[in-house]
Amino acid sequence: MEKLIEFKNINKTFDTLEVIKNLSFEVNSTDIIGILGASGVGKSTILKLIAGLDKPTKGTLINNTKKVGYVFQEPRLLPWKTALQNVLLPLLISGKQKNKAKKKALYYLDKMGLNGFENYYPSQLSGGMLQRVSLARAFALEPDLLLLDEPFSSLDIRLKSVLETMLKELLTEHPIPVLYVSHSPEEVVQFANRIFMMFAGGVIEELPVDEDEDFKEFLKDAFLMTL
Amino acid sequence: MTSCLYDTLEHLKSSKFIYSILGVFFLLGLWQIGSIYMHEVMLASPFQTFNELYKMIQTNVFWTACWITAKRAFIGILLGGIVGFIFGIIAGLNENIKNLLEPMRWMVMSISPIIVVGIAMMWFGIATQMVIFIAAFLLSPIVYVNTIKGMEMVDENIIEMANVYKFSVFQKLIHVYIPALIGPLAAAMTIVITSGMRIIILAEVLGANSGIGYEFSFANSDMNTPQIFAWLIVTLAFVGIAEYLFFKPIENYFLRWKN
Repeated sequence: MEKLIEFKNINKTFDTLEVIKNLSFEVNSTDIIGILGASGVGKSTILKLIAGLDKPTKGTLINNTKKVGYVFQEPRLLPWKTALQNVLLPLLISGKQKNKAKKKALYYLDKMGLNGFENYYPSQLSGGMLQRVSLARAFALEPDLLLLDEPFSSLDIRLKSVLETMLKELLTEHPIPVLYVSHSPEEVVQFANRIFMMFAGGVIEELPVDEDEDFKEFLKDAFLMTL
Repeated sequence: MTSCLYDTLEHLKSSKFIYSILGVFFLLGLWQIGSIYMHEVMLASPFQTFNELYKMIQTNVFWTACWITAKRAFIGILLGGIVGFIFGIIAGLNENIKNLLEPMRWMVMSISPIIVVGIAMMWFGIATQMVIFIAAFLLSPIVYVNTIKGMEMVDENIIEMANVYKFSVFQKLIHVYIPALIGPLAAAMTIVITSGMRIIILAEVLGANSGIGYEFSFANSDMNTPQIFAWLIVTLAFVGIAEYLFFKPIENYFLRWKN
C-alpha cells in the first residue's frame, strides 16, 4: 500500500479566516475517501491543496502523485472545444501520443454513455452530459488520484443517481484512489472505504465505516451535528 | 468554413437582412429628397453619383486608387491589430506591464488624429508608410484595450481547470485565452475596420499622393460633387466588403461553438 498524500499539521488561512487547523491525515493507494462536512468548512480547500491550486499556510504536505484528475462542482469544460477535444486535451498535454489519446478519450466518453456526442460542443449538451464529459476527462488521464468535489451537487435526483451508478461502475472496472468531498452522507457512503467528517475550523475526524443501515443513520445524524 | 459561408447566406435570407435593405432604400430616398431641395454643388443626387461612379470604374485611375488604399488598409489594420493584440496579451498576463503601458495607451488614445498625421508626414514624408503608420498607430490601442478586457473576462474556473491539468502558459494562451478573446475582439474589429477606413482616407487626403483619399481631395478641389459622393460610396463599399464578406465569415467560423 503506497502512501500518495500526507498532510502533516496543515493550516490554511485566508486573510484572518482559519479554514483548516492542524490537519493531519494520509491518502493511500487503495483508499476511496469520503470527506463529509457542511458548506464552507474547508472540504474543497483540501482538494485544492492536493491539486496544487493553493498552498498551505503552515505545515507539510507530501504529495507523491504525478497526475491528478479533478471533477469540480461545475463541469468546467472549454466551450470552444467539442466533448472529445475537451477529454483529449489534458491527455495530449500530459504527453500521450495522439492516436492512443484519442482512443482513450473515445473509450471513456463511451463509458459515460456519450457515444455519438463526441463532436458536440458544450453548449449543445445537457447539464448531466457536461458533467459526464468532465468525469470522462478525469478518468481518461488515468490519474494517480481522483479528486471529486461534490460532482453531482448541481444535478437533479434522477440524474444524480444515474451518474453515481456510472461512477461506481467505472471505479470497479478501473480502480483509482479517490478523494470524494460532499455534504451528502448518502452519496459518500456508496463509494468510500474511509470516511472523514469535517467540522468548522478544519477539524477532521475519521469514522469507522460500516455498510449497514444503522451506520447510514448514524452518519446522517453526525452530519447534522456539523451544521 | 463552408458552413460559415452557408450561415452568411442564411443571414442574407433573414428578416434582419430584409429590414437592413429597406433601411438602405430609406437612406437613398432621403438623399434623393435632399438633392431636390439643395443645389447640386452642395449635394449630388443618387443618380448623378451612381452615374459618375459608373464612369469612374471604367478608368484605370479608379482601380489603381482602390488597390493602393485597399493595400494600405489591409496592412495598417493588420499591423495595428497584431501590435495591439500582442501588447494586450502581455499586459493581460502581467498587471505590472499593464500599468507600465497605461500612460502610453492613454496618450495614443487621446491624441488627435490630425496631430498624428502631421508628425507622421514629418517622419515618413508623403508615402505609403506614412498612411500605414497612422492607421496602425491609431488602431492598435482599440485592439489592445479589448484584448485586455477579454483576458480579464476569462472564467477563473476555466483557468483553475487548466492549472489542474498542467497547461503551460503557452498552452493556456492557445487553448484558453485566445479562443476566449475572439468574441470581444470580433466586436472590436467592427470598430477597427470602420475607424481604420476613416483614418486611412483622412491620412491620404492630408498627406498622400495616391489612393482614394488623394483622388477624393482632387474631386474636392475641383468642386466635382458627384465624384466626391461617388468616392464616399466607394469607401462605404470597402468597409462593407471588409466587414460582411471577409470578416463576418471568419468570425462565424471561430465562434461556431456558440450556436
